[in-house]
Amino acid sequence: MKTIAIIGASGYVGSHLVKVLSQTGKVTAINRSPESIYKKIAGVDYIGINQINGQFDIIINTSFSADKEPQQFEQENVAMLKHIQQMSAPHTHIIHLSSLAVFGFGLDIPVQPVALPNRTDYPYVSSKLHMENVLLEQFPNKQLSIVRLGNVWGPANQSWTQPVADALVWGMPVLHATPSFSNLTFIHNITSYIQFIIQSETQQTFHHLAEHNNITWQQVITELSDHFQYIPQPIETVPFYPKSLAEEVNHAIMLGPVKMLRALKSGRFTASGFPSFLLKALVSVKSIVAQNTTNNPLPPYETDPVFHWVLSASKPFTNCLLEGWTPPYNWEQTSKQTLNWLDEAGY
Amino acid sequence: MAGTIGIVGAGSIVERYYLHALRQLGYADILIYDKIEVRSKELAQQFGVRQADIATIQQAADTIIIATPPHTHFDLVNQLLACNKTIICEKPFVLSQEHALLLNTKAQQIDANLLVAHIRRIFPGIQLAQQYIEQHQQELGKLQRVLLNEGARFNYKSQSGYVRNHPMGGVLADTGSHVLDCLLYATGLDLQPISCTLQSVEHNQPEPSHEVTCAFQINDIPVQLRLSRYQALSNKMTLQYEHATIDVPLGIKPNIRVIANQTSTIHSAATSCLTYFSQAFREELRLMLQQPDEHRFDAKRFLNLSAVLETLYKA
Repeated sequence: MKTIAIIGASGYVGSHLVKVLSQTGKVTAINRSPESIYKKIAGVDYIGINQINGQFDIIINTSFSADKEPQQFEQENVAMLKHIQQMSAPHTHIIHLSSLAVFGFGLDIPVQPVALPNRTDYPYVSSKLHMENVLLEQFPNKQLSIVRLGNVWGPANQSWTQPVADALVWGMPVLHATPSFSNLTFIHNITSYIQFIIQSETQQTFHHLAEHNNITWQQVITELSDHFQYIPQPIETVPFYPKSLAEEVNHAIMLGPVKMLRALKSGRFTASGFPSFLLKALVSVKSIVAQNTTNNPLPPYETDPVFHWVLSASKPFTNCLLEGWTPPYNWEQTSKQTLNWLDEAGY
Repeated sequence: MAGTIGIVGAGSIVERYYLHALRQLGYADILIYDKIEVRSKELAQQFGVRQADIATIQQAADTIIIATPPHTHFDLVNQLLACNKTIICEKPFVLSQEHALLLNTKAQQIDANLLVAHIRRIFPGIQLAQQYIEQHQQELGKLQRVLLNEGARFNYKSQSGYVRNHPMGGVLADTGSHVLDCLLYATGLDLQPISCTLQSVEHNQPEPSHEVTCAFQINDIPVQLRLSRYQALSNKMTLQYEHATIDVPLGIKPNIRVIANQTSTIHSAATSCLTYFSQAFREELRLMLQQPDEHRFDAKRFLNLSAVLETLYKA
């Protein structure tokens, strides 16, 4: 029986992998804090990242340093690399789950199954890219599989399924006028593909998994809205997506001083290098504003721009998969399971 | 800002919200206590406030914020309530109607302000629902049935570990108290005498349980409640009135949906606290500190919530 370590075991993909792989292997579920895992599976060892002891046949890394400031992700990734090195032997197969976001939220970097150089981008994107490169530098290709996942979909999925359902229920903009690529991958297909990689004799470094990439968001949203009998609201304007530093700064300047600082703090090309003196200036300005306003009305609702960029994707995330794998769930089955969950969850 | 603020408890909510908000509101004199001394020291250093013991806070603070695990609330509020002071107790206040009554009576007798920070009352969707229902009572008719679903993959690690270790750390007292409060507040049931009768309850494990499904009645209104720390649910409250159904977000979405006469209509709040929650929290805290009388967090408005929670807990 192979020993399998799953890092990031409390996450959506991580928790599904723990469940599936524990049926055939000896699984150790690893999290930053084991106390934060509320649902445990019998026979699985749950440990904290600092309690790792021993080496494994397979290490699956699903973790992401989500809570850290953009400036900190590089050191977080290096710290994670050290943990992975500590757990690995020369025969260990490392499967790292990454994201299509390494090609930019707008997929504006050509989608190819190759290593990409580190670049300044939104912190999530830069961090994902940096982690890929940290692993590529340290482990030989025969030991490492990087699986770039499409947009993850499935019952109780809080990244895409729930936000899309919420947008429909609460009448928020969700439907782009022209057909757009959903680039979806279904959770049970992900676990199936990871099992396939583990069992396969063929080694491949880069994998792109979005088996439902040909399904348009329009189809997905129409199926859901027909089920709910709600009318989907159109996305009238896709939020500004900067392609260069100059574009981003020009756009920020037009927002006025406070909004400009905030936009730059979370901007595509500016967030990672946002100077600390400007951050302090932003905090001071906000404090002064706070002290001098009473019952200041809150600004109107703002949708996360990433949500709309992805819902209006004009490019497919092309698959790059090991030969011989067939997704066990086609779109019809994927859709059926999703709709069943929506009913059970009280939508 | 004049006045001394005492904070009892140095957990995540204090670190993430209260201390930031108090600093932004200009309060300079802030005392903090936690039974885990290293934790209060850490926050004192981080925010430039003073570590203190309970006795000093009791003596020196004009307003005391109690942000400790739920099972400690009754004793702490009872101990710290004093003439002319304002006490802000974090949710879920207390889990017994008797305790809620005792504390309210005491506050009234000694002329103290007692508030309970059930902060979801400021969520735009909840406020919109409350206003809509108040304004359309006659058209809506009688409330006939309520469905409450809230769940998410929970990965919160409390500083004291009470969410795993204490019987009152389960999902029912935690997010469940918010959900029930949203129901009572939006429908006005927090302001009138109610009875609560339990019909069935299922827990995934003895308290603290992380999944709860229960059916009960408030007056004669059937309520179905489902809570989970394991998986995402709709996070929605459905209020089925005689002539309309209203869907209300239990999270920070700013819209509600009203379905009547086979027509579904979205109503939107003018503002949102999705991106600006810390700002919304700060403004509400300002009101609590500066105008505690007749505030929507007045502890008198939480007697019914304590009664409902007590009924569900007794099972």
